[in-house]
Amino acid sequence: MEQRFGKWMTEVLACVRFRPDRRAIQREMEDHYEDHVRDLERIGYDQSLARQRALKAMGDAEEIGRALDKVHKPWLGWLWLVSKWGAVACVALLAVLFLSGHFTYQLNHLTPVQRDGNYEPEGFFYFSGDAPERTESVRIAQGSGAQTVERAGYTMSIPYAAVWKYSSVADTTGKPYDQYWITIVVAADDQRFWDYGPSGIWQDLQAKDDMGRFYDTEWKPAGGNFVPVRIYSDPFRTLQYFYINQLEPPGEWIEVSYPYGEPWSIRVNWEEVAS
Amino acid sequence: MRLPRWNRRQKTARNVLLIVLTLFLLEWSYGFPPWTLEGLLRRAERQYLLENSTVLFQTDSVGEGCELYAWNHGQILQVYYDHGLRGYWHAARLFDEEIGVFGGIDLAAGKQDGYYPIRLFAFGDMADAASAEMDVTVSYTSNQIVSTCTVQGERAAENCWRFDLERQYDDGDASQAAQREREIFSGSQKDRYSGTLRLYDDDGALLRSWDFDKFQQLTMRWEG
Repeated sequence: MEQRFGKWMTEVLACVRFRPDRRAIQREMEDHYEDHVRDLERIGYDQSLARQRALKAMGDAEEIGRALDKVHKPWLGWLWLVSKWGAVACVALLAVLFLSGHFTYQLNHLTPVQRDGNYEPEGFFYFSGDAPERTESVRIAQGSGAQTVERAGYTMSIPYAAVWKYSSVADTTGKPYDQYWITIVVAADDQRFWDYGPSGIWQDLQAKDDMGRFYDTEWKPAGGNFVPVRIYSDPFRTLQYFYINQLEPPGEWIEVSYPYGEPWSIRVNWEEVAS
Repeated sequence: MRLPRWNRRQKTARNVLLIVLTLFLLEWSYGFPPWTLEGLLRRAERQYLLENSTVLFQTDSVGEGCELYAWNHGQILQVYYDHGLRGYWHAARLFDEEIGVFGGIDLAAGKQDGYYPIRLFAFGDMADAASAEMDVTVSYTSNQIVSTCTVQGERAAENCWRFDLERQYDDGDASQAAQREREIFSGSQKDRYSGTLRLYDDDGALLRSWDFDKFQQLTMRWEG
């Protein structure tokens, strides 16, 4: 009798094309068959008859096999199996990468950078803490770009610029003097989260003012330095902070320009800040 | 709370989504490297706010990376790149030059008879030139001159001429200059090239000449 069930089972499984499921199907069928046999025995059938009836109740092997094959489609089965191991590998890989700090740089750049408001609420940005150049500097003029420029999918703008005046006494001569720090924030906005901003241009930006002064990023001890110092970015905006340091007060305006590709410039007109 | 029992189709969809998400995160972590050379050039252009560059030449070295040169509004965009499973990754430089001289010791080509080949490439508006010649001074980066020679150019592309430098001293030469040259060609000393590029027309008349100093270019920064 057991042999007959075994043969029936073999016929059923032969119809199921997705081999990895065959074992589970076999286990389920055996359980079902054994349960039925036990039920029949409980109501008084002898073992041999119970097995015979239970096997008959299982139905036609080929018909059952075809129905099971329809449910256990090979393409879905293989896709599920491969995707399962793929998913397990991915979870393991992500866990390792996160724990090793692989995503730290990208995560840090998800924090949105400033888009409006006061870019230097606590004083001249270049100095930190309670440096006198920061705490004692007074913002005497402020402005923003009079226009924006579109290049290569980026919108270039100057959302903020300011002039800070720092009055001090020369160490050597004891004479009082005024020093002027100019902050210029250049912004590059785009919709391409996969780009990391126009990183090549910051060293090539130049500035000039209405007094005929020229500034660029090549360091000169005598002055005229347009110094890129701090950069902040999120997926859609990059902010580059520049400063200029000089002993003369600013003019009426300052213009930032880029000489390559299709050259452009953005002018900032200074407006006095009420003290 | 009992979690809903998912069927095989739902589980497969979940797994596939997880795999796609992982691939996206990996791409993100590598800065979404471009998958085509065209995409690579566009990316390099955007770093410098450029558009519609014309490709001048592309080297085919492997291992140490490849170089692509493009032209844009009178500037030369040099893109150093390599490619692998995760696409192209690169660094780019922009030169404000109508004609630029690039290249140097070709480590990727490997040593031949104990020395690396040295190749210089000249790029720019040179389609009208029938022949090209270059006077090259090879020096250490410390300005110590090693040798001077005149090399005939070989056209590599419409706007590109290639110059293969040859050693000027024999292996047995014990002079200091010969020793320096061997150091340069074996890659143990940083090299520097300066000189003059001359372009000629079909009749051999000089079209124009160009002075260059590759050391200055080498000291410029890369933007990756």
